[in-house]
Amino acid sequence: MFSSIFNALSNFFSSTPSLYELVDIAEKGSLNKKIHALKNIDQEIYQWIQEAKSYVSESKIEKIAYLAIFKHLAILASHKLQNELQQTNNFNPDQMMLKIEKEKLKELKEMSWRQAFDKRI
Amino acid sequence: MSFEAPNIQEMINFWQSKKQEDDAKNIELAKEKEEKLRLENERLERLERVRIFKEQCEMEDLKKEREERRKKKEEEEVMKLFFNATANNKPEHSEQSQPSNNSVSTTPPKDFDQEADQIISSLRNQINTLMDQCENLDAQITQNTPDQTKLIQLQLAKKQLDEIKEMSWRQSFNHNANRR
Repeated sequence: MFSSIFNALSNFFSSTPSLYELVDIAEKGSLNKKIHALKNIDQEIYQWIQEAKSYVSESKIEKIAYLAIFKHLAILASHKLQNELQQTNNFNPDQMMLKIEKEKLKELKEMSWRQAFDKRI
Repeated sequence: MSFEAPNIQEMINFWQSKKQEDDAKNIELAKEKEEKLRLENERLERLERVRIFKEQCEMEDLKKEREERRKKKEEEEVMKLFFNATANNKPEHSEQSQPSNNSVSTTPPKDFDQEADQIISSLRNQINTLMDQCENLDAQITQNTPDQTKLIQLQLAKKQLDEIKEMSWRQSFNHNANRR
């Protein structure tokens, strides 16, 4: 289930290799690599793991690290989509068309004025 | 040329007065010396008193320091005894247990296993919420994206505008040449 969502997420960030690396670490990296990655993205979970790793099974720690990385990616995806939505909200093709037509009219008027002036001379 | 012989008595008087003056001067100098010596002695005495006072202060400080160190050591020993006693009396797997600095104790300070389960379920919930949010956003973006025909029309209009602008520029160039 998660690998398909990972693929969907990594498509969002095709231009950012570091996020690809993060996906790679979450899916194939060792426990130490996962924990190390968490150091930069989720200090709270990282600290908890440091405190608890001698008392909790390795598989549980790995699951927590994996989910924490995945949560970070989901947060980033959500931010990116929010930005995209903002852009689509700001984009109004009708208004743009109107602007282009106005500019065209202005240029044509100027051309017509120059033509009339040259004929008189 | 007349030569007046000096009056002997006058000479004696003169030399006597001179001697008296010298004696008075010598006495004055001796007095001054004595005064200087007295002052110097006083200064040395003062210095000696200051030195003794300083020594006393240092001794006091050392005493205080030693006393503080002794008290601290005593407190540390009491704390050590206390920790050892609590570590030996602590029930195993107690939920109330606190993390201890004593390396002898091996009981976990918290129930980390239970906490791990809670974190896993919380992370799963958060991820699900985020994924729902992403799906909603994606749907909204698809809804907001203008259809292809409108985008093509816009591209064509832009192209036309560029062509008109170029024509206008050429005309303006010829027009200015004619005016000149």
